[in-house]
Parts: sequence; structure tokens; C-alpha cells
Amino acid sequence: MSGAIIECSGVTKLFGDFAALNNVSLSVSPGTIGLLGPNGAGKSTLMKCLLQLHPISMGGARLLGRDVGSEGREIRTRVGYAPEQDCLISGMLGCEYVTYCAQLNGLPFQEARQRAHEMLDFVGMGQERYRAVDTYSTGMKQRVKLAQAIVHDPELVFLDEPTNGLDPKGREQILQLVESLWKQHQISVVLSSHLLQDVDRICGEIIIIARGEVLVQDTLQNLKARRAGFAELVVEGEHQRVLEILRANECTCELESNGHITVKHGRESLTPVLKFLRDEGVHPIEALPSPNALEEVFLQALSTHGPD
Amino acid sequence: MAQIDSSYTHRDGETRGIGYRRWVIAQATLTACLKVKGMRWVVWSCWIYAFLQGIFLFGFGQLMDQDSAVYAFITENLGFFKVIGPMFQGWAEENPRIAIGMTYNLFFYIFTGAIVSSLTLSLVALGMAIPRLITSDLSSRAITIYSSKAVSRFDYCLGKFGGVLLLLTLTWLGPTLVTWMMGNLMAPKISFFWHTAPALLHSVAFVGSGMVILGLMALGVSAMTSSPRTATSIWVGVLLLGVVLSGIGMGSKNYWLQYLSFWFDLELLQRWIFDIGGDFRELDTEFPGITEGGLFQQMKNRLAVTANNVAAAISCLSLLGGAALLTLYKKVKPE
Repeated sequence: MSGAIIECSGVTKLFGDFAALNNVSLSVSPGTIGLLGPNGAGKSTLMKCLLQLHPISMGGARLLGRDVGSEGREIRTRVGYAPEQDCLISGMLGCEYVTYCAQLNGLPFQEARQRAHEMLDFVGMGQERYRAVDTYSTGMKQRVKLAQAIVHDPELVFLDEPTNGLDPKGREQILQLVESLWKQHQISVVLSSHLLQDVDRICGEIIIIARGEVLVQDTLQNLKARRAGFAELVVEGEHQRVLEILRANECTCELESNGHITVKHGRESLTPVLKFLRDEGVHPIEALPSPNALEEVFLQALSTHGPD
Repeated sequence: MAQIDSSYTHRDGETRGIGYRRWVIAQATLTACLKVKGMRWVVWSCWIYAFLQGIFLFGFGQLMDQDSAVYAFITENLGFFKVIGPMFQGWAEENPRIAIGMTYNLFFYIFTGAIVSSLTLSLVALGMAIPRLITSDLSSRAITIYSSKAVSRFDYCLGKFGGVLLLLTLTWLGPTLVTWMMGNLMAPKISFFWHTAPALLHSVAFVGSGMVILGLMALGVSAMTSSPRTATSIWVGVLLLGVVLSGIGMGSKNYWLQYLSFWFDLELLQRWIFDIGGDFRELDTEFPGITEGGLFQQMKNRLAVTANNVAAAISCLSLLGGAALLTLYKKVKPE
């Protein structure tokens, strides 16, 4: 799909006197979009307004080219949503639950059941699918929530904190799945998270929200470019020697407690730094250009706009 | 956990309309209700009760047939029936509308709405089902999932309402229809079908109206709280309050209190629909004075209903339904 998948024009959401979203205007192209912000920033509210779970107080929005206010039901046949909280239907088995969600999106029963099993395979659910959802662990709940969000083959999926409460292995698997949705299957993903690493890992475009306002919207590449001139090197032993070489080449550097070396080289690219290290016989195990760029942009955006 | 299988495939099948999605919610609601411990016993009780009523109607039908084994058995064991039996049959032959139609009408009047009826069992069934209707979706936040699918709040409520109607069909309407059908299929003459058709229409009209009112009330109560125990307690409270208000209002200056009881309002509605008073008038026309005094007179007095009574009852039932709809509107929404 070409063109914007999300268009917001002055979207405001009021809860009493409190503005959870304040005049949000956006235009988002297909891809993997990271919605970043501190707790209470308005990330979930924005998603819920776009899905019409909360009515928009002022302004307008379009999703997949359709008006959110008047075509909500049609939009939701083409959109998936995995909420942050457990929203499972008590008493159902995992496979029944996903089948039911598919039917709620209009899939005939036979197809719904077949796709439910396919999606449960896709998210890595084994025999657990035949257990009641009430008995699921956090990891299983996250998987089954993802399965129900994509079972009807949507064009766009909203995932609200999909890695919350997962162990590192489970988190990695979920991130792989989410990443594959766009890269392999062209399903756009809007990932809301307060975990910068997750967003950094899989998102191509970043939207930073705080106090209901969009502070930053740009591609991850551009955001990282803002922090060009910084790098992190992982070397085996020889830390002092590497530090000396870097300083001799007009770089400011520091040895971190984890043994990594942070370098402020001030150049557009890291290539010249790697070249003079190689010339000195130093071969870094890993070289990360613009490390923590997202974190720094995030913090900078928050401090500039001064959220509480 | 299984390893990740990235075999995601896009679908190109049909997507069904909103009617199907509402039906899916109704089905799921009924399934959830039937999973409640004890619910199947209640449903079975309704059907066993219907079967027993069918046997009673079968016995009644056999009294119209001199060649039947039942008739023979009764005349053998009850001497006086040898005299009145043929008289009764002769009279019934000449007045089938009164002998058969009125009997069925009175029978279904009693067994669709009285205390000892499928109505009582249906109220028990609703009490057991209420935590599984909307309450559980509120407590598990499943409302959010419904709202994120291609169904609106209205569709959700309509689907849930359909689920309640399906449950009440199992406990109330279905057994009533089957009783009527059994009585007629086992009757000695095919003419029973049309003589008893008014009784069927009255039953369907009353049970249908009752299902709508009780269904709305059950949904309203279920939407009031996310606590299953509280929801059940409210339902029991509403039933008891109905009994108490009806009792207090009866024969007192504050007779209007009775109208605040849905039991009383339903009973008035039932009297009006079945029009037993009309049957008595017809009986009076055929046999002048037969309903004066005695049991008939008591029944006439008891079942008398005026247009104003009915209007007040329907208004109060509508208010109850309106309150239930308002509760649904206020409470059924994602967090």
C-alpha cells in the first residue's frame, strides 16, 4: 500500500479537563512505526482514538484512507490490535479464543479455525493452545494477543507494549515476529513501547509523544544521523592501547564499566576511525555507530519540551 | 513452547457481514452460559417439565376419544365417568372451540407464567447466566477486544441479547412450543391443531414479550458490575423486590406499588394477551349463567384486567427495559 496509513489532523482527546492528546497532527507511511513516550504520554490513547475505542474530542483522523469517525467498523476489519492489558475472554481455550476473534472479524468458522491454528503456530504456541486462557503465563498471553491481532490478516497492526513481562528469550521471539510482519509480509506495525531497545531494534520510523503532544516524528536513520560522530567499540584486551590510539587521532574516548569504549570522533562516518585502528593492528569485535542515539534523542526531546 | 514458525500466509477468502458477527457473539454467549455449573440441569428440568405437560395434554386428548385406552381405563375405575364421559364428548363435538380451545388457552396461561412454570426456571437460569453475559467481559476487560474488532458496542449488545434470547428459547419458548406440539400430535383428531392455535399464538406472544423484557433486564444487571457475585446478588434482589412490592401493594391503599414489580406487570400482560375473561364471556354466551358464582366467578374476578391496568403495566415494563438500555449505554465501553 502506498500513501499514508495514518493521518491525524489536530486530534485532541479530553478526559474532563485533562487533555490526553493535544492537537496531534501526523502523517505516517506504511512500515514499522515506533510510538515512544514515557508512561502516561498518550501513546495508548492515540491508538485507542485511532481504533475508535475512545471517541476523538476534536480534530479528525484517517486510517488506511478511511475516516475514523464514520467508518470505524470497516476500518477495524483491516486493522489488528493487541492491547497492553490482558483482555482475554475468560473460560475459552487459546485456540477457541483466536478462532472467535477471527469470526468477530467476519471469517467463516472453518477458515477462522484453520487460521487460528496457523497464527498460533506462527507465534510459537504449542499444545498450550488447548488450555484455558485464564491459566496462561504472561508470555503465552502476549503470544495469544498477537495471534488474535493478526488472525484476520490485517494491513495494519497496533501493538501496545507487546514485550511487557517477557523474559529475554520470549522478548526476542516476539520482536522477531513483529519485525517479520513488515519485512516479510508487508503488514504495517505501530509498536507502542517505553523500551527504547525494542523500538530501536525493529522500527523504521519513530514518533515520540509526551504530555499528549508529538515531539518528534522522523525515520530512525535520520534520528541516528543527528547523533553521528559518536560510536561504541568492543575490543578484546588492549583497552589502554586503543584509548591511546584514539586520543592520538583527536577522538575523545572513555572506557565503560562493561569494557566497551565510547568514542566521540566528530566525523560523519565511522569508517576513518576503523581505518586508523586497523592501521595500528587493532580489529574491534564490534563497532556501533551512534549507540544510544534513540535514547539521547528521546531524552533531549523530553528535556526540550519539558514534560513533567 | 514451540519454535517460531514464520509460515504466515495472507488470506483471500470472503468476509462475512455484521449479521454473522452478531450471531457469533450470540452463539458464544449461549455456549458460555451452558458451561455454568448446574445450567444444564435447569435446561433439562425445563424440557422434562414440558414433556410432563405434553403427557397431560395427551391424556386430555384421549378423553375425547371413546376408543382410547385412557378413556377405557377411566371409565373402568371412575364409575361416574361412564355417565358424564359420553355427555362430555358429545358436548365437545358440538363446541370444540370451548372444550378444546379454551382448555388449552387456560392450560398454557397457567403453565407459561405461573410460579410453577418454565418462567420460574428461566429466571433461575438467567440468575446463573448473568455473570457470564457482560459481567465477565467487564472484569476481564474483554470489552476492549470486542471493540477493537469489526463490531460496534451496539453489535456487541445485540449479540449478547441474542445469546440471552437463545438461552430463554431453550428454557421457556422451546418447551412451550414442544408441549403444544406434543399435545396436538398425540391428539385423536387433526382438528386439535386449529382449535388450539389461539392458545399457541397467545403463548408465543406472551413468552416472546417476556423474553425481551427479561433479556434486557438480565443484560442490564450483568452490565452494572464487574463482580460476578454482586451481579447475581443484584438479580436475586430484583426478583425479591418484585415479590415484596407486589405483596405490599396487593389490597392496600398503595396498590400502585404493585406496578413497580415486574412479576405483577408480566402477569397483567399475560392476562391481557391470553384474554381468559373473553373465554368466560364466550362460555356465558353458550351457557348463560354458568360462570356466575363458585370457582368460575373467583377466576373471573381474579383474571379481570382493564385497558388502564395493562397500559400501566406495559409502561412500567418499558421503563424497566429503558433503564436496562441506559445501563448498557453507560457501562458497556472499553476502559
